[in-house]
Amino acid sequence: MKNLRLVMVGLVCLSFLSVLSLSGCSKSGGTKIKISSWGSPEENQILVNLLNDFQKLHPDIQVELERVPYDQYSTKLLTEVAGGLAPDVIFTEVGNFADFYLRGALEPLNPYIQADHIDLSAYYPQVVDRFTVDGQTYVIPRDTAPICVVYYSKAAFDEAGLPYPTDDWTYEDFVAVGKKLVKKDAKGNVTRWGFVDDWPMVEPWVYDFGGSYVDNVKHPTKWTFATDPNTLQGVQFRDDLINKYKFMMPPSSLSAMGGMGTGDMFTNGTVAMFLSGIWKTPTFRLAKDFKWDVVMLPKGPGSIRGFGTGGSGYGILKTSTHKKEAWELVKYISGDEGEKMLAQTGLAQPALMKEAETTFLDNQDPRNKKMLLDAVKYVKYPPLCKNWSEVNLSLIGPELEKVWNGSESATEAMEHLKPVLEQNAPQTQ
Amino acid sequence: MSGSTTIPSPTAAPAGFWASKRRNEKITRIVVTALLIVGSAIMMLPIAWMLSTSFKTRTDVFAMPPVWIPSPLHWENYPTAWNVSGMYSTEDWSFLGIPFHGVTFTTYTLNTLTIAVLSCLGTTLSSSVVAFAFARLRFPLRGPLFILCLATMMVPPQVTMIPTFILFKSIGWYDTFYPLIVPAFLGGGAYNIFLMRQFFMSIPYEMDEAAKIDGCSNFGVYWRILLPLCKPALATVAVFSFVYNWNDYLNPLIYLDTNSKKTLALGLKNFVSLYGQDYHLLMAASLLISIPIAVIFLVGQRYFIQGIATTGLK
Amino acid sequence: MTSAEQKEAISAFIFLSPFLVWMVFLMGGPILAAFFLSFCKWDILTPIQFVGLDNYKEMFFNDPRFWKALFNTAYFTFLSVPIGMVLSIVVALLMNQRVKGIGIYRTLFYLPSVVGAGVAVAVLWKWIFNADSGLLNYMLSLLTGIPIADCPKWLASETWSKPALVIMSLWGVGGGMIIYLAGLQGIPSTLYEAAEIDGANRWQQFWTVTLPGLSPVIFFQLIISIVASFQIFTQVDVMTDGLGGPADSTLVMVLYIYQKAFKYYQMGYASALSWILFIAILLATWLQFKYSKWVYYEGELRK
Repeated sequence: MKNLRLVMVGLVCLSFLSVLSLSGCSKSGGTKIKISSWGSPEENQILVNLLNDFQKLHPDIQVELERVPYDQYSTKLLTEVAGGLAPDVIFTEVGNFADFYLRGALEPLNPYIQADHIDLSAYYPQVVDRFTVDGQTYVIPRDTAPICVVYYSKAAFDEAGLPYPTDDWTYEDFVAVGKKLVKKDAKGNVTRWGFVDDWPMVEPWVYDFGGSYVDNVKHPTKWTFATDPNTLQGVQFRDDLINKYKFMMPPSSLSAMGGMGTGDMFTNGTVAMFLSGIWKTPTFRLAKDFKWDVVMLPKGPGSIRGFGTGGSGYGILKTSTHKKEAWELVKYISGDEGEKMLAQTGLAQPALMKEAETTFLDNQDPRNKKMLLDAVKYVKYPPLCKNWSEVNLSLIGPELEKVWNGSESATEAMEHLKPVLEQNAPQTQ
Repeated sequence: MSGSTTIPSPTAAPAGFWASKRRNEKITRIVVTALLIVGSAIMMLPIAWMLSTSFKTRTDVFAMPPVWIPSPLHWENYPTAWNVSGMYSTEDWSFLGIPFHGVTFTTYTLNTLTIAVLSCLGTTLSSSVVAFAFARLRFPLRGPLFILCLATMMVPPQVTMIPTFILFKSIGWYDTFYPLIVPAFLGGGAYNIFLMRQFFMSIPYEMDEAAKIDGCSNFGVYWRILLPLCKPALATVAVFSFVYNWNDYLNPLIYLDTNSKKTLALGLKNFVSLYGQDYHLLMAASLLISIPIAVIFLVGQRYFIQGIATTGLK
Repeated sequence: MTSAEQKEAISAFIFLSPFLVWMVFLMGGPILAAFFLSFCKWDILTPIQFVGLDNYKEMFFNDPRFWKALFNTAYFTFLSVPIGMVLSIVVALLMNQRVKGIGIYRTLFYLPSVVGAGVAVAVLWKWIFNADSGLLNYMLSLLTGIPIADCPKWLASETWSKPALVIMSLWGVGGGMIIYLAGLQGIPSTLYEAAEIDGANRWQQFWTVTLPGLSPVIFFQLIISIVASFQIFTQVDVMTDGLGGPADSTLVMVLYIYQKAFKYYQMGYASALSWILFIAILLATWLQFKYSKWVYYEGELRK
């Protein structure tokens, strides 16, 4: 009893002392800028290394790295902005670029680019184009990430007696192969599925079947998702994979809503083919005794191709009071050094073409990743409007979940979506 | 002093409740024990799974059918999980003037402990003070003020978050522990005030009157009569506020900036985002940071049943 | 006011002072700000625009997701609160027995409500609720003989996702247990002795002594549970990756508010949603206070 009381009093005293001792520690002078980012351990390490090097080159600039978990990134960032504590440089990807650009929060970079003679043509034009609106560039790209990477398990193909797929396969080949990859036990329970995606995504199929979301990606005026017959075909196709051909893992079999863990199901043999971006590479490399490679998403009808994409880069917030220093930082971290390190991890396809064509194509798994150099040509970007994520995640998404669950047909879903999308026109202002 | 009005309860259970017959009691005890064992087993299922996972290798985590006792046990996951979170920060920091290098879970533990201990202390003291006024004193606007107090619970914190942030930032408390500690000393929130009020109100008013006749002031009644009688409630408030602050994620996320000031919950979440796929390490880390709570609870739980149970005075 | 009354009032406000400071300075401002924001359009990145009642109009006449969220929240509350209340009282009564190692049992029952809310455990729950290979359906089919294929699809099903959340929430009974346990200590043992002398059996003792003695705590727990389940957020957020799926079947109010504020940049609309939720909770609480005659306070203040 007495001891316990003593310990408690001691703890309280220590706590008070430590709070007091925390205040009043400030670092030496120089301009202080802050960069906000999220990412995997590999990505983070690259950034830490780059910042260390940058610090040596610019001892007068102090850089603080703020690392926020991805799902809290916008929460933290918006709170900081509201409190007048926004970072100077932000890491941004295709989706939240639109959110920040459309609200006028990003500093136009053309003056800086011209002053320093930065050659943007060294980067993939598709990515540069995404971050450029009406001739003005807002973000210097870091990587591109076409979501067209079908990872496949060689063991599964061998066991089913199938040849490994090649990049010129079609959606029909895909269905034929997928069906054969399914394995069942004596009771008829599936022990290996043919296919699953990283998270439930319909974009690859919509684009692959020539469908669309809006009339004009850069300046959208209306949604075409529910009215474009090609979109319907794409949706129908994913529906069929699950509910008709039954080789794609249905939502009820996923260990998670949202697809957490499907990558692990791929490496442990529960699934033979897995659709995602190239960023899964470092994870899959860790799997022991597991032979795998990648192949491009099959061609759609009429041999057309198209897939959604990730991709990211660095931008400067307009609110920054040290734009010059911020630009120095952006210039440095999106330059050769960083792109090379990124390529070495296998995590992402650098936006800098030179690095993508050399360092990125190392002799490690997946051997066929060179297909990505070609795939970049077919990437499609989401519409540039303020309500894109809301419409996609909260209006289209839930309706399509009914399709995947089998409680609604693709046609019905489109009919339901028509009035909803009409009411929620793309907001560009 | 307080001992004179408090006779410690001789038994944990309400005496005589199960006391009808010896044999009966024995049967009851067996039934109760059986229920407790079954119940505990069900309740512990998630934690047992976490424990089992924390000893696996990465590839074993998703083995089907699930393996409950992995062999061999990978103890090394624990030190790995503990040390790994510091990998991205090499900054220097100090605790009580002692310098340290590199931020690890140790840093986070010290910070979290500081915040949790002080908040716990503040909440326990201030919520009971405020609750005493609501439960025992007559003053104008008592009803409306109490409703106002309860109403603060009903506004989702998600929408007051940004205004609150702006407020704390404008008084220079950004990146300090103050936003996480000071509110605890100012009533500790409606939940705790309400809880303490309910307990105070279940204590017979005669006790106050008797004390007042003996010359006790209002503070005396609060400190010498009611607080000692409400030890179980105080223990409850203390445990809840400690646990809340130990696990709180969103407030530290928005108020703390410097890595060396961050807390365990932030460290864990950072860990999830860095090693989200490494469930075995994640579970090891989660369990490690919960151990202090388990220990505190195990030690402190006897205070829950060390109460009044007297008050036969009439 | 007599001078004695005045003195009492003055000392009351001294006791209340921490609360008043908090209320006026730390809580009042942000709450008023949130109230003001509900009449505005604000995406945080651009200046605030006053729009009058637009947010409320939009919500009531033009936003099916609002109604869905309100329905889901009410559904969850009405299902989880009664079950949770009864269960935690039962557990507390068990935990109040003199059994060997009771401290360990208490800890075991309480731990899940501490550890069990985090991200780490979401993975486990997803596995438990998995329709094909999950533990729950395995047990269910073992006990009832229903083939696994016909068992509920839980988190993947629009019908069963909310019950799944309720089941999950029951792992939090440890918190309620502690409060009841503390409440049970406040019941004078003399009352039990008196009841026994009157020849009351255990069951009668429970109804005439335990329940009335526990009623202030039950009342507290009832109000708090309803407030908390109206505001359920974390579990849904981690279980559905912030989406409230499948097909919005677990979209609850606070999740919707969070989505609107921090994912879709509509702080003003989120504030308006919050005020509607606030009114709903206030109404529920007011009703409970109005019909709280069943609560027995040993030390009620006389007027």
